[in-house]
Amino acid sequence: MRVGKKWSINYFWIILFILLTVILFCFDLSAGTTAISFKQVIRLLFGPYQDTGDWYVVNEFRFPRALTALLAGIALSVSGLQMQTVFRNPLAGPYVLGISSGASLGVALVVIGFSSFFMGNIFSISGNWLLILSAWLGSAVVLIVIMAVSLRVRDIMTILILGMMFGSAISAIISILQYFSGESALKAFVIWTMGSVSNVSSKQIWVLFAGIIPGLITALFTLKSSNAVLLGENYARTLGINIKSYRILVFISTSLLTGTITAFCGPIGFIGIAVPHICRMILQTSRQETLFAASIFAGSALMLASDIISQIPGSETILPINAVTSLIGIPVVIWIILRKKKITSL
Amino acid sequence: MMPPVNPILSIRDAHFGYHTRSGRQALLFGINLEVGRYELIGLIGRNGSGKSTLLRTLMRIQELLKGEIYFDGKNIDDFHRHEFARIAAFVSTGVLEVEGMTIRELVSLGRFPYTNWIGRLKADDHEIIDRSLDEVGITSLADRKLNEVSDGERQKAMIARTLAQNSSIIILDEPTAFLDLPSKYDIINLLHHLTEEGKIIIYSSHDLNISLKFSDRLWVIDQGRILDGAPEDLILNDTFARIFESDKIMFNPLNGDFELKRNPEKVITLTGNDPVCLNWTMNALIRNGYRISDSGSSIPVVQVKKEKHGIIWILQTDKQNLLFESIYQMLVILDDLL
Repeated sequence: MRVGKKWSINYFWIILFILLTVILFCFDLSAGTTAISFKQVIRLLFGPYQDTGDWYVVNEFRFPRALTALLAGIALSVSGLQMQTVFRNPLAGPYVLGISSGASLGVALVVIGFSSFFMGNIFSISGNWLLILSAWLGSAVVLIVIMAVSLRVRDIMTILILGMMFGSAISAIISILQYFSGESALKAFVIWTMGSVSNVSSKQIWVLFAGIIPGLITALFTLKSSNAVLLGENYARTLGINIKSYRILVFISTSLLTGTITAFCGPIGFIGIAVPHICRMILQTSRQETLFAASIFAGSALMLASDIISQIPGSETILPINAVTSLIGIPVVIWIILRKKKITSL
Repeated sequence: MMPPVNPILSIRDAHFGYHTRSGRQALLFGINLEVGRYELIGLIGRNGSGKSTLLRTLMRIQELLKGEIYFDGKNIDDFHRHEFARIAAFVSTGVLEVEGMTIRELVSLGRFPYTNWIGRLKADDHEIIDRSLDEVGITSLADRKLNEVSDGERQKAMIARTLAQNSSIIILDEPTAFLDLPSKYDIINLLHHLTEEGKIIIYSSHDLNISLKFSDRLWVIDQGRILDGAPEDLILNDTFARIFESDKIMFNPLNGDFELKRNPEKVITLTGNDPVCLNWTMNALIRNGYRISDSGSSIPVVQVKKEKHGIIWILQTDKQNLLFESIYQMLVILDDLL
């Protein structure tokens, strides 16, 4: 390779992110209300089968939780990277199209609309199939509207603004629902909006994979065009790209990735905005294939780290994951704003 | 102009413009143009006359309102987008900002229409990229970031990208707009050189002077029509004088420059032994409101002498002779005298 030197540096970072993901994954398995040592986790993972309580806890709860965190990190970071490229806006993220608002509306309708149904088990509702389905439907409806708009509208900024307005309108409807809802239903809904990676069971995790893997494969097919779109849509057209099909592919990929994660975990903020920027800052490149690989592993590592922090190792309290990702992500966003001479350039 | 026998590019009865909410707004009407050989074509026109619209329509970024455009006998709308990318390459106006992108990466994007689904560059792609970088003279900058080089170097990188795209036509919208004067000459000279390698290059510009000197052909937009010809033809048939002159500005057909119109009352005689010194002394005198006497008998007289140790200016009035070592000194005294 002609650009060998630069490449080997990039490989180094990506390998480092992979190692970090593996290590943090093991740490995440050991973190939680029941103390399981790191050594024991390694023994459970790589040693012979043990008929112990630890094995049950790790297998049934910790492993799905860590895997969910890993997949959430991957999905949100890749979506964020794609959105920042397609909108050529550094502050775009997985939720700019209003996908989280759509999902929230779906959940709000179910939780608040049928609140009597959930009376008994408010705190376990996030794992409920009905909830997942309603969140998914909600984001699908938003996606279909955005797609229809993007087929007619030529200017990408119009789509961005419409997406944001659409999201705000849905949020307004949700607040009306909240205003008229009962106390317990309201609490259940608020807890859903705080996000959680611990409500996916070992049986449901396969559904998560079924959403994420096609999303990632679709994203892979947009990488070549994304490199050209960095120059602007007019240049991309003259290089032979059909911009509308490109946008549709990106939107499908993002909604598969973000929609699935949001349905299972609730809206998780800032990971999707921050991770692509962290990768750009460290790798100093605009190559989409490099940033794609780096975002996958940096995203999963950061999400696992957030989950470990939210467990507050050594205590029985669990923080809402959204609070942790925001506290990590917001400084990055502030840094982007302060460092940019022009906020409009990527 | 007689249409060439085998036009490569042909524009037939075309209306160029844009769509508005209330309908279509045409800027150029019934345009017929043919390009039959590899040449550098400068597109000249005032702001808002439709330069960018024409170029963007040729690139299929904008829709043609009416008429047809043919490349090698085939309507350009009948080409697939990725096919058309092998025919025409584009450099738009404005400064490109992509954080972290290197010049080589930018130039590699020219290979976009030729690479596979993930954009993998093969050995011959790398060869073409290297050749393109070399052709515009930026090989040494290949691994620098776009935001670390000068505007002129970035513009060369954009041109190298179009070379990597290996298209017959290159279209550039104001490629010299942000550049300093030497860079402007550099870029247009480069474009002229590239036409010799078998390319049709169409560029728009406000630098009439440079376009006159380097273009094989000019398309001048005048009230919705395009006047077509060699720059020299357009000077000789008074096209420029007619289009660009106003009550304050006149076109000088001798050197292709624009000059301020003046009505000088003060007359002066100028003599000297060196044409360059004479030329610039005259320039200074005219700027200061003097008319150079044709008969050579008016007083005062300025004599400019180029000698071994330097240039001196001698100012003769009816009372005295004064000697100066710079035009500036002389002008200050001249103002006081009269």
